[in-house]
Amino acid sequence: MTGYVLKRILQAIPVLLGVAFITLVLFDVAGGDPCLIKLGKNPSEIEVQMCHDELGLDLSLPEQYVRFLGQIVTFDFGESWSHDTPVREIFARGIGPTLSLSVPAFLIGSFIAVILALLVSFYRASLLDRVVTAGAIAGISVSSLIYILVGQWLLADQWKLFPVWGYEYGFGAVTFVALPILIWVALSVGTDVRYFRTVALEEIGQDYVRTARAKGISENAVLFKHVLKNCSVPIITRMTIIVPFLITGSFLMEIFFGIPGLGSTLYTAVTNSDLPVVKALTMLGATLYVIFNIIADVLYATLDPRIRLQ
Amino acid sequence: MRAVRRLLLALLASLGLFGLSSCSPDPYPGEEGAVLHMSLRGLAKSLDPPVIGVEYSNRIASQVYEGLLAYHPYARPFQLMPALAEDMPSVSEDGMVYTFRIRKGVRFHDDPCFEGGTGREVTAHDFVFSLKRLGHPKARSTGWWLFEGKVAGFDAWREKLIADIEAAETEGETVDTLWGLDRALPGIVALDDHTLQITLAEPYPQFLWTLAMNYAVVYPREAIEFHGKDFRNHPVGTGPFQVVEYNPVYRVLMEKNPHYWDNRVPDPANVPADRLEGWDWQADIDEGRLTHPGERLPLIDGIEMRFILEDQPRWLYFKSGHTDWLIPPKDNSAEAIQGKELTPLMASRNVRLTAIAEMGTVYTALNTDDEVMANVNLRRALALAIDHNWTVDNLYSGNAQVAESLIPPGIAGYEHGYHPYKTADYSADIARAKELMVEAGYPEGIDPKTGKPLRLRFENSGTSTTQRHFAERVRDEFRRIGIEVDIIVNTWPQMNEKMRNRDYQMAGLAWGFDYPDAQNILQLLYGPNQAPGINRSNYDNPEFNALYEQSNTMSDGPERTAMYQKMARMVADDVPWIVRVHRTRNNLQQPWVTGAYYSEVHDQWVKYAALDVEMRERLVAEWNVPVRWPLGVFLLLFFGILGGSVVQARRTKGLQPKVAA
Repeated sequence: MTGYVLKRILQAIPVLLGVAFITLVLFDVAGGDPCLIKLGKNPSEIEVQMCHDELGLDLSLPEQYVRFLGQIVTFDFGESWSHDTPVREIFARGIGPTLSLSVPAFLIGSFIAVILALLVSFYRASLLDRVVTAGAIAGISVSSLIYILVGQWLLADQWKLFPVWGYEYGFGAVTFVALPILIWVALSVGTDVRYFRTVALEEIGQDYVRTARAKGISENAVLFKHVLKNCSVPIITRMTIIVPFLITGSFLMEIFFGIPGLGSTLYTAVTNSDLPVVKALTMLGATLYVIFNIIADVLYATLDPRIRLQ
Repeated sequence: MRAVRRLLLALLASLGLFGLSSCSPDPYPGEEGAVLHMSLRGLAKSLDPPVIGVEYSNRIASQVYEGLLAYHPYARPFQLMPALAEDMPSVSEDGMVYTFRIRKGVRFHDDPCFEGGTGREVTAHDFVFSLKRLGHPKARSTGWWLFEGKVAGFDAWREKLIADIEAAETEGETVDTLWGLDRALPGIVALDDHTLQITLAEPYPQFLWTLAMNYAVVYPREAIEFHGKDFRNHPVGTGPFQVVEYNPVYRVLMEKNPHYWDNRVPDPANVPADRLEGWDWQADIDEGRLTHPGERLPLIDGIEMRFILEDQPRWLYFKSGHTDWLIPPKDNSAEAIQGKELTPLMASRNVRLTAIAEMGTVYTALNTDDEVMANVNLRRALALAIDHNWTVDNLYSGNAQVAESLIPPGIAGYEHGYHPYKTADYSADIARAKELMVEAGYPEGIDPKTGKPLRLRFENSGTSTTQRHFAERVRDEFRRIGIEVDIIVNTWPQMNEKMRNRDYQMAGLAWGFDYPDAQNILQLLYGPNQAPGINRSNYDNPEFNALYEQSNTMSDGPERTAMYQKMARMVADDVPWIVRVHRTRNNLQQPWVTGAYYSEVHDQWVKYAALDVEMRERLVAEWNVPVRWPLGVFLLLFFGILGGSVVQARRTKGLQPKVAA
C-alpha cells in the first residue's frame, strides 16, 4: 500500500507540472495585459513598463514558469493584481464561506441520494421508483443556471422563503446558504440517485442477498448490513472524487447568492486577468484532485479486500 | 419494514431542515440605526486615493475622503463649491497661481495610526503630501495623467524620483510610496498650516474640476506609515463616514464619522452663501430632492454597500426593499419601467424614478491607422449603414438617446443638428452608404483584391448579452452594404492591448466624463495622444490638433465653445468614431430615502441622503411575507407518492426486494 501511494505521488508530479505550464501558457497567450487594467484608462508607456517590471511580465516564459514553480512550492503567489491583497489572505477569507455552502450541500445531497436510491431499489418498479427515476432524468437535463435563476426567483422572490442574496460569517450563514444548498442538492441528487440506484439494484440482485433472506435475516439487516455496506465502495469512491470541487467552490452559486467564497473569487479573477489568483486556485484544484484520486484508490482497497493496489 | 421507516424518517428530517431554515429573511441581521443600503454591480478595488479610478471604488471613497472642492449636490449644470477649502481659491491674474485657505478644525477619522487613536487636525501640509504622492511612481496612480504637465515642476520632480528610485533599487534598497516624498516641489507648497498654494505650468481651465475628484483628496501620512500597503483596504480620511469593514468580494460597511466638521445641506434661505447662481433650488424642493436644508451632515448613521455582480439578484434585492437605490439591469428594466413611467407595482410602492442622461458617449472606434479603415469613404458608409433608432429601442430598451455629436447635451460644445453621416431621423441610409462604398472602392461591398465581400473585424470586450447583441447587430447592419464582419470576443485587457498595438479595425467603446468639460472627450482624438495613448482610433487631423491645443488653455466661454463645436464637426465629417448613443440612467429610489440628488458624474451626493427607518422596516416586512403553503404542498405530494408506493408494495405480491431484471 505505502509503495503504491508513493508511486502515485511521484506520478502526480509531472501532472502538476503540466497543469502549471498550461495555466501559464494559456494566460500568457490569451489573458491580455493586466497592467492595462491596473493602471486605469490613460497610462503612459513608462508606467506600463514599470508595472511590467514589478509584476515580472517582461520575463521570458521559461523564467516565468520557474518563478511560478517556486510560488507553488512555497504557496506564496504574491498579491492579487485586482485587489492588491495577498492571495493567501484572499484564500483564507474565501475558504470558510465556500465550505459552509459546499460541505452541507454535498453531505445532504449525498445522504438524500443514498436514501432515495435505496428506497427506489427496495420499491423497484413502484410508483415511487418511476417518479424518482423520471424526476432524476428530468433534473439532470436542465442547465444549472436555470435551477439557480428559477430557484432564486421562485423561492426567494415570489415565496419569500429565503434571502435573495447575502452572507453572514458564523452561524448566521445558515439562513443565507439554505437556498443555494437546496438548489445544489436538487442539482446533484438526480445524477447521484441514478448512479446509486444502479449500484444498489446490482447488489440486491446478488446471491448473498437471497441467501441472507433464506436464512431468515430481517429486511432491515439485509438492507443496511449487507446491501448498503457493499454499495458503499462505489459510493464512497464517487464521493471522494467530488471533494476537491467542494473546496474550489461553485462560482455560479456563489456569484448569484452572494457567498464570498473561492468560486466567486476565481470568477472575478478570470474576468480581470488576475493571474496570481487564477494560478493559485488552479494549482490548488489540480493538487486536490490528484490527492483525492489517490485517497479514493486507497479507500477502494481498504473497503474491498478483493482489490489489491499495485 | 423498520428499515423503510428509518429511511423515511431520515428523509423527513433532511427535508425538515430546509423547512426550518426557510424563515422570514433579514439580510441585515443585527443592524442598528439608519443605515443606507446600496448595491454595486462591480467590485471595488484599492481605496488608496492615487489609484481610485474604478467607478465602484469611487462610490466608497467619496463617502470617506474629501478634497479642497466638491460638487454642489443640487446645482445643474454642475458647479463646484468649497469642501475642505474655506472658500473658492483666489487666482492670480495670469490664472497660474491658485491659493486655497484650508478650513480650520477639520479632523481626520479616529484611527490607530494616530497617537491615542484620535484623528488630528488637517493642515495644508497634508494636502501637499497627498497631492505629491499622486505623482509618486510607486503609487502607480491611475490619475497622474490629469496632472501631468499641468503643475509647475511636478513632471521634473517625478522624473527625478523615477531615476533615483531605479538607482536605489539597483543597490537593493526597499522603496515604498513614501520614499523621496519629502523633496520640495515648488508647484505645490504650504504657505502656512492653513494656506495651500498651487502653481500651474500652463493655464489649465479644468484644474478646479480635477480637485473635486478622489485623486485629489487629503489623507494623513501617518496612515500610510502605520498601515503600509493595507491602507488601500483601510482608508483614513475626513469624510462623513469611515470604513469599519471592507471585504473586497462581498461588502463595505461604513459608520458615521462622529467628529465630522460642520458641513450642512445647502440651504436656499442662507443668502447669499448657499444660494449659488443658477441653482434652481425651488425645483429641488418641489421634486422632493432637497428635504433637509441647513441640517448638519451626515443625516444617517452608516452605509452598507454590497457587491452584487449578477443582474437578477441585484434587481430582486431592490424589489424586496433590501437596497435603497438601483439602476435596474437591462433584462429586469421592464419590471420597473414601462416607457418612461414606473410599472404599476413600482408606482404603488411610491418608488421614485429619476431618468439621468449619462455624461458620456457610446461609440464605435474605427482605427484610421489600419490599411482598410484609413479609407474615409468606407468609414462614412459604415456610419450611414446604422439604424440608430433600432439601437436605442432594442439594445437599450429606450434608455438612451441617439448621439448627434460626440459631446453630450448639457456640455458646452454640444451642437444639435450637425451629423452629416446620420440621417435626419437617425435611420440607416443604405442607398447613400452603397454610393460611398463605390467611392471607397468597394462596389456592392466587394473587395477588389479578393473578389469577395470585404471582411472587417469587430472587437468586442466581454460576453454579456448586451455586448453580444451589439456586436451581432453591427454584423447584420454592415452586411446590408455587402460587408462581412468577424466578431472577435476579448477580455477587456486583451482588447485594450490590441488597441494599444493598433492591431484592430473596429471596436465597441464608451467614455464617461471625468468632469463636465468637452476637453475630456476631445483629448481622445488629439493626434499626439495616438496609440499607445488614449487616442485609440489614431485620428490625426492637424487642424483638429491645433484647435485642441489652442482651446486647451482657454477658460470657459463662447470662443472656446465655438472651438469645441468645430472640433466635433471635424469628427462628424471624418468619422474616426461612429458616435452611437448617450445612455440614460433610470435611477430608482425607495420611498423611505429623501434628500439626495443622484448623479452619474460624481458620488458625493450619497452623503446628503436621509432615511425614514420606521417606514423602511414597515414596508419591507409588508413586502416580504413568506408564502409557506407551497412547501406544505410539496411535502404532501412527496410523502403521498411515497405512501402510495408503500401501500402498493404491501398489497402487491413480489414487490419485495428481488433480483434485478
